[in-house]
Amino acid sequence: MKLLSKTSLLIITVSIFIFMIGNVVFFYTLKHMINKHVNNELFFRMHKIKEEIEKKGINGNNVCFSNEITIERISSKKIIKPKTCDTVLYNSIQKKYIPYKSLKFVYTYQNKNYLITIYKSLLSSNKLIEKITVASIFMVITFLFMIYILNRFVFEKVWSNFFDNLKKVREYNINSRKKLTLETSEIDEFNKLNTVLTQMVEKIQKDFTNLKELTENTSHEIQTPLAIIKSKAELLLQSENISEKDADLIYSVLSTSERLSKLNKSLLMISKIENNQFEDNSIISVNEVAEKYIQNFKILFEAGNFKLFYKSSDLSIKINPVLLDVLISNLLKNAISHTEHGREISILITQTAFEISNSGTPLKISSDDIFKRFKKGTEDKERTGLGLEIVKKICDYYKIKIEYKYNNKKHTFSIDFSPLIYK
Amino acid sequence: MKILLVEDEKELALSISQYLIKNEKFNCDIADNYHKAEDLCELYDYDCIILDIGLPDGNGLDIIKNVKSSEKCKTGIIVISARNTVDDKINGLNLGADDYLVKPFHLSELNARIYSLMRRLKSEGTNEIVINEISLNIQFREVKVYDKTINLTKSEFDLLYYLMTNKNQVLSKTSIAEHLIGEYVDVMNSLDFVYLHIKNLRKKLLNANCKDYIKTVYGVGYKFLTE
Repeated sequence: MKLLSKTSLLIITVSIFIFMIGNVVFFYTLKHMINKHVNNELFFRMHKIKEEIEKKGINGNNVCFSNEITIERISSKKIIKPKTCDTVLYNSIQKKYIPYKSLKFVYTYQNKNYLITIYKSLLSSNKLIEKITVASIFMVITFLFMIYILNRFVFEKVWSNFFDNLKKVREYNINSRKKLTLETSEIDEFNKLNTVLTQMVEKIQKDFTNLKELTENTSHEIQTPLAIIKSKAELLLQSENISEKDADLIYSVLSTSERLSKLNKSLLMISKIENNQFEDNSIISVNEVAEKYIQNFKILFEAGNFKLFYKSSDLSIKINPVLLDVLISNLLKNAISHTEHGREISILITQTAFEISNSGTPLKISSDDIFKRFKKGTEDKERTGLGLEIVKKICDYYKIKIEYKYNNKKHTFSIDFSPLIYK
Repeated sequence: MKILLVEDEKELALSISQYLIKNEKFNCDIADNYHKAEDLCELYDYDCIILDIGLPDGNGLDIIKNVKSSEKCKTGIIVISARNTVDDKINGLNLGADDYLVKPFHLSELNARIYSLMRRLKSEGTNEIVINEISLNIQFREVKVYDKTINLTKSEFDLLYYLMTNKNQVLSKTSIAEHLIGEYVDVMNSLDFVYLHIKNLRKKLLNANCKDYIKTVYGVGYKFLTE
């Protein structure tokens, strides 16, 4: 949920709740006040009527008596206190019952007791309450709407810096050597956030560079001792009168150090790709590179009796030449080393894509894992398990798609070069 | 033949010089820093300089510049480096280096490279390697046994060349494989193809009544034995 929707929703929910309670309280207070007012008026009229009776007597119509006053003679001696109550009376004109408030009191005139009842219509006051309530509800709705608009406006004003900076941070590439510059805002909290962010990014960048340098230096430094081990083993192999058993031992030292050195080179390659150290692109023909490697590996095709199907059309792309070499040779190597003798390998270069497939048994690992580091489909210890990861890294680097399929007992890798095609 | 080896890693320098001296009876001087290398270059005429460009007290690339701009420009230079970037390679070669090898390399490979470099640079030298009845002409890529030409494929020729330049040395299967197809050997789950090519080459040589020089060193590799 967006910040704006969340705050608006919260504000509106709370306001509705508050206004509901407020309206109920308001309604009852109003009702109570009007009630009190009506009672006061009734008592005032009671006094008026008493005065009138004193002056003019009770008989006749002289007491300006309308139908809102009734006078009854009662025999009871008991004098009751004046009392108000709610009642309804039938109105013959409107032909319906109308709510009235009445005041009953007993008045003694010339030793006779009279029960006098005064009525006061509540129609107008009820109408008033109704109207006031409707008006207040309308006001509440308008108010809520205003809050929504205001909130939006304030939000846009206050948070605009924040969103600009958020966009900058999201688009920032930690690999680039550029500094992250954020806009300063009038709000202290945002400025603090910016400082924290910039510091964090600088720290990450520093660590990243350190790690990069460490990886590279280590890789380079490892090559020299390896070269020494390798050369000593090679010299040892040349010694006279060496037993078969010793020669075997020396050879395994030699080949293990070679394996280590290759592993090291592959890891260095991956770290270089990840660090964007292959920036120079030029226009190269994929089919020429493929043909170069087919020629290079010809000796293997001959030895393994592979059947090679090769079909190509012109495909020129803009790419780093080293990376294209690595890409094609790794895929070709992968195909060669996973194909049984006498089976077939086919390479198809269309106008947009490169496809290589080889026949073989299904994978023992999941096809999602095929590009992962050190995942090997076979028990073979000689290979590094990094070849396909490098391929994947190169494809990710150029944002091109690579797909793996297993169909008709054939493993197929296809790369869609269309984003890199040079026009 | 005089060779100057510029390498700050003492052990590696020793291995290289031992291999070269034993194999080819080269004269091999070792310089372990930039200044010593400069001085030796001034004093003597070397046929070949094997140069590690990462030296503690100077850039090896400057040595290439100095040598190639002086009257000693016929000296061959092979750069050996732990840095495997295209830029380094191009830089070295542009300055006049004749070859570039990335560490760690096979000593036998270095030996073969020196061999072919010497052949390229010395115009008066012969383009032939002759061992008893076999003669191998590099220029025409031709092999003769008792003056009779035998037909070899490209890889068989390369293989024989590699064996003959490293005669009487044990060559490991991986070093042969790497020589034949470059640095992509890590793929080969088996190095069967080396065996296959050796087998074919040996058959062709034997058919031409050549002595069986190629000995198998069990589990390790092969040796071109002339002694």
